[in-house]
Amino acid sequence: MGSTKPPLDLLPGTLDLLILKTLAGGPQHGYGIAQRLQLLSDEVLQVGESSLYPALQRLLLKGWARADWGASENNRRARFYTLTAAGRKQLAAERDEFDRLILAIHKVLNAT
Amino acid sequence: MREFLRRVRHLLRRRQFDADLAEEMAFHREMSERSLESSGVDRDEAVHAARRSFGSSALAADQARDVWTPTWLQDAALDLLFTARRLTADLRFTAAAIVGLGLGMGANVMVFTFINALLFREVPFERSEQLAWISSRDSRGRAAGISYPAFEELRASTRVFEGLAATIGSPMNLSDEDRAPERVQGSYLSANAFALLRVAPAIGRGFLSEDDRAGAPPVVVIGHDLWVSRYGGDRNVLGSRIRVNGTPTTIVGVMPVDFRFPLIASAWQPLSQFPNIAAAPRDARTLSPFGRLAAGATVDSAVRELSTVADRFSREFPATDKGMAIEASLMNKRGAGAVSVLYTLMGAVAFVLLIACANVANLLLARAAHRAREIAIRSSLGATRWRIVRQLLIESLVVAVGASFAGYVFSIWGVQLFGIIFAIRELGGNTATMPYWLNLSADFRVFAFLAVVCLISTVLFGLAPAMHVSKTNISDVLKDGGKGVAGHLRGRRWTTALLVGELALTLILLAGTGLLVRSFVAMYRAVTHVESRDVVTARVALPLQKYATPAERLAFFERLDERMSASAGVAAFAIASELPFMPVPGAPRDLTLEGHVRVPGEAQPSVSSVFVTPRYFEAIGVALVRGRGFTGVDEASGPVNAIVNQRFASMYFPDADPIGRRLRLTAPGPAGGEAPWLTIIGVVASLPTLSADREPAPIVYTPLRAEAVSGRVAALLVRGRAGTAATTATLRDEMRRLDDDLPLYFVQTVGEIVGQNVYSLRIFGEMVGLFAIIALVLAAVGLYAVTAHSVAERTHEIGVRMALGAHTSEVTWIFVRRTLAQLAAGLPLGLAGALATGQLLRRFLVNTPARDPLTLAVVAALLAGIALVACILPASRAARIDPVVALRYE
Repeated sequence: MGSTKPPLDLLPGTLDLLILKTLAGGPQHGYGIAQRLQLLSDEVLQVGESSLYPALQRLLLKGWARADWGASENNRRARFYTLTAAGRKQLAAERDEFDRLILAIHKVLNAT
Repeated sequence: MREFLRRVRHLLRRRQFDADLAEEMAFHREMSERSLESSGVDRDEAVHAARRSFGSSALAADQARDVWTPTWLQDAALDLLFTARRLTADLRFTAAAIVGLGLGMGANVMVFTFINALLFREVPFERSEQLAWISSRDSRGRAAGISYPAFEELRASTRVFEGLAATIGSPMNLSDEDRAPERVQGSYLSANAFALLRVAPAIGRGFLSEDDRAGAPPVVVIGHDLWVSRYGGDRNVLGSRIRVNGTPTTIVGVMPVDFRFPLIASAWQPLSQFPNIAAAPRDARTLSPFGRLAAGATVDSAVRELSTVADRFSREFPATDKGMAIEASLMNKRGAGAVSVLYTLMGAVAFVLLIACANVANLLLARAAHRAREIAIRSSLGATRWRIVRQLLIESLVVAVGASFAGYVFSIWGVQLFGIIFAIRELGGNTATMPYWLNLSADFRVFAFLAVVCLISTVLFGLAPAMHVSKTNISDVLKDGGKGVAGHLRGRRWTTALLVGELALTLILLAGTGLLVRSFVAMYRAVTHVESRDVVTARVALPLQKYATPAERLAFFERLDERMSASAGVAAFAIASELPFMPVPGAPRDLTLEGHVRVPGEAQPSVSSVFVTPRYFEAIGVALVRGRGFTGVDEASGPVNAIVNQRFASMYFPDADPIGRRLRLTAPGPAGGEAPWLTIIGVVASLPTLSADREPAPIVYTPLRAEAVSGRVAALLVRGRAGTAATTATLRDEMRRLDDDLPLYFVQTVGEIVGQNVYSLRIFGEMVGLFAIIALVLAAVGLYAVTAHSVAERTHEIGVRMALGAHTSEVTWIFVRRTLAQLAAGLPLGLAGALATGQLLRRFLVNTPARDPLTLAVVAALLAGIALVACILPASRAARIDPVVALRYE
């Protein structure tokens, strides 16, 4: 709530990348992922939960993540998502892709 | 692929998945609330904020689910479920649609199965696309085989063929000590034939090139069936001796099961064993050569090579080969001759399918009126037009798929019923066998055809009603209380058009059937005036190995004639060169009349020549019209006298008495030589023809004994005093006494010959007839259903009319009037179509004009009558309605 600017819409496709990156730090449940994205982006990225869960299903479908039930920090039953080997590979690939895209956008914007 | 498996797993564990998702999202919400609470927001506010930030959790869950199952799939599943519910709710409609459409599809699949077996399936040989038959065509376009000398030259010079072999079919008389003599269909083959076909014997060996040399010790290879039936499958049969046409022969091999090349042969001998083959003249075109195209060669290159050779033959041997063409055709294309029949049938069944589709479309339209409200509600709830059309189409597709299953079952019955048309009667027995390569089972092509028919009919009968229904105006329908009057006029116009089309198509099919039935009756009537149904006929072939000279053969026939004529059970016995009622009545001969000078450009007249013993006319029951018959004197005095039939007399002596005139018969071609003058001594009635030609052929009969070169194959005719079985037994006994090795074959009565000649026409007519009956029933059912539906729909109106004093006949008239109008539109259309169809059928018709007014009038009256009955039945029910009940009816 600290920021006065409204939360940003994500570039299409970047949500999957961000979730993958978050999971790279270790298994996490859905709420945890949302919290972490919010925290790391200084509250700029507020992931609408209605896009978070479809995105998580997509990762499961593609085989980039695995879901297991476990106990949360406060000992509640929670569903933890873990990055698979394929997910790790995908993260690297998407990251390269993203860097190239950002670089390209920068070049265009900075051109005189 | 993995992804697909995960999707499937998800589908199977949906419930678990949904529970997991719900729990996970509840957890998320709870955590959000807690974190808000801990940051100092009051509890109610926190719950609210968490909900808000979470958005609609139902939507989120839906979207999460959509990741796994594409939306269109979910929709389709819903549509299917809905369809199943609708179809099971209205079982009468579903059953009517599936059976009617199934009949239409079944007829189509049946005909396609025949087309597939004859045109598309391959002969059962390795690389069968390389195999081709070679045949010839003389300068007048008549098809024939290839002569032995020509074959040898072709074989030596060919470059496009890897190799050439020849076959000549001939019955073989088999006899040995322990078993009854047997006559089987045999074939003489070049030694390399098995190798070219890439078929090896199951046991023993095929032919070696030494076997196919003149003077080689005789060998025979037998078929699997014969091996089992005659020798009980004993392997020791190899090397044993058997007499083939009286000649001791060694069995060297047994062919595999199902090998009966070229058609239904059961025994094979090397070509050189065929009597006098090496001495055969160039104009004896009796061989059927075949070859395997060399790698890279096409049938077109073979055609080119063969026509070059034919040109050379034409130059080098003008006496025999002038104008002769040599042709090649792929073995796989063996049904080419039947194409016109097959496509005629395909056209007929396409009509049946169209009628069936029109019927289902009408049923759907009738239902559409009832469904208007349901559809209006669905569209007002936001269903798009496409969604509604799609749902209706899925419904149609499900009906069509159900009908496809029914149709497949119907087609199997149909194939069993009519497949016998392709059977060939085996020699010596009365069993009939299909050519070995004919496979009438369903294969992928048949199923693909069924699938295409299914899709096409779905579009044909489903699309128009779907478009019609989806166009319905929502507010009109809802205002109307769902009685479906809105769009009613449009719907009725569709129905009328469909019914008119059905009536027209049915009339065309009925007219076609009528023409075929009339031809069939005409053929039968033509032969019934001859009182010869029970005359027993048979053929006997004197093997040249045993009866080498004409004198020996004549001596045999004389002995047979003596013994049979002396037998107590025989009223008349005759021997002739050809049986009556055959497609070819006798040997073709060029005719020269004494005193007649041919003007330039006048065609050489050709007549049929038949050699007979004196009692032939008595045996077959043909009356002598003028002059006298043959006597022993005519026979003894050599070729001097002749008897002609009435057709001959009317063709060549239209205004004169033929008795005493002289004529000369010569074999066609320059090889005929000088023939003696024959004096006409009598005229006999013409035997009716069984071929499609209207008129009987002109025939000249000459005494058998006067003909020095009596053939080795003769036809025997016995008019018995007792039943045909006793007569046949007498004939067999006398034959056995004369020569134990000589079996009789083609033993049948004249009635049976006639039956066989009209057999294929009969089957063809029966098939078209069956299709026409299906069409008629479908059209009648369609009319009935539409009228019944419209009666039900207008019950209220009828009640009002009757309450106002309308007479029952006036009420019936409302509905009959509509059917009359439809008939008035449909019959002329159908008659126009029938006239065109008659032209198409002309080549199958006998003694029946293609525009036979009687047939057309009868079938039109029949259709109109049935249509009126189909309409009056439900309409008269309307007239019996009690106005009080009708007015309350809602």
